[in-house]
Amino acid sequence: MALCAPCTTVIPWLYEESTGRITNHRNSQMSHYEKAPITEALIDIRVELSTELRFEDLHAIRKHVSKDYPQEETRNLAEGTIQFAPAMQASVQQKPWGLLFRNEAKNQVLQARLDGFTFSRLEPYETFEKLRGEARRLWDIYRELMRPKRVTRVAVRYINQLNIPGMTVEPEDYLNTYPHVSDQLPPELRNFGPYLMRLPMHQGDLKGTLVINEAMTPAKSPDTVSIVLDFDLHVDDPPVTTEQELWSFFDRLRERKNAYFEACITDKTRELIR
Amino acid sequence: MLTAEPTNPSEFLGSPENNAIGGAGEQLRAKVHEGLRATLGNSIFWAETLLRNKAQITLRSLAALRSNWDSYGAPTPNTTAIENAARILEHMTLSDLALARIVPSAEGGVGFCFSKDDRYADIESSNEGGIIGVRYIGMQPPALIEIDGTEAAIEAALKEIRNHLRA
Repeated sequence: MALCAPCTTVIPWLYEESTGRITNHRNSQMSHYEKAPITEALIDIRVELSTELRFEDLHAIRKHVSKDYPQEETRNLAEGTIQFAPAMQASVQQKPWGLLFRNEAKNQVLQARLDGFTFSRLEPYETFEKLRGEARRLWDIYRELMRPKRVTRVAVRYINQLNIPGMTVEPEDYLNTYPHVSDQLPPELRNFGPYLMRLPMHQGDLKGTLVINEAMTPAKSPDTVSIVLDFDLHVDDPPVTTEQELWSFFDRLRERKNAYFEACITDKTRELIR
Repeated sequence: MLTAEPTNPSEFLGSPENNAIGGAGEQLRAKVHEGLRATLGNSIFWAETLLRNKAQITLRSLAALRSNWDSYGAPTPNTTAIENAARILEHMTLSDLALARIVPSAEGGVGFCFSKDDRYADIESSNEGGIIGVRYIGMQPPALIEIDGTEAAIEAALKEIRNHLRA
């Protein structure tokens, strides 16, 4: 059971008994948006590697990807955590954990780590087919060289940045999922932001979790309100035994992500990005 | 209603700190940290956004320094220096942001310092409006990085620093 704000668009949900899939009508006819607000789309595969492998072993990937991804950076284990816990900074050793390769245009990034693989497509987004195709090509290289024992987790994540014109915005005009402030308060006491909402939602049929991260971020241009709408769908111990199954499973994750995206935006947002 | 009025950049993702000392406060703090770490995940967008946000907070704090902040008469970084520093920040990649230390300059301005092993480089945005870079290894004489203030020159300077640190 979920608490929902009123939806402006009615989406009929379907349960397909034969496949056990939950889909919706709009999802099966997923709109194409000329101005898709996707700022990053990524495919993430976590693995268990042999304990004998070291960070240095990841360098073997370089010669296979450096032609297309010439810019290389080292990713440290503590890099992400320092933002949130300054007090921990001194106690956490910066340990090299992965390599990050960017293409010349800086819009495609491969992360090869000791705990897995991530391929990101940054702006401008193209298509899921291209994202999946390139991710699979790079995954084949990673898999061949690192020989993972097993896949422990898979994820599809789409981060959208909506730049809404105006200095003030009524969230319900653009979003169907947002923090709702009680109507019992007078209007002048109901203004809010900046904010970050993190909403993990169990996906029973996929045995996974979809996390909606919604945040108001610094505006990209003056006189706009910028809202990040981030869908991170992950499944631990995915039910896949072959490569074919693995990549078909990503298609299912993408379908579900699309269903949530369409359900979370209003027609006014569609007008903005069409 | 959401408002786009200028806000303190430290607030944009909410502060994970709180001053509650009870068990519930501790749990909340831990939960917020955990949630923010999970949000970051392996996303390039979030990592860059958060590191950039941290850098902007630092820049803002430098602008608030008092004159003579080092007790040797150092001037406060002025608006020109801060604005140019913000332009430099826009060109920085994830790894630049992770490596950079942002410090006030004793001559008046803002410096971005990078070091890796015995390799060092910095870019300084001065109160007079100039931007200049320098790089060196250990005790070797420093090499000047010319920057004419254009976006292309800033980009080229950061590329030179990346190559210097990587070599």
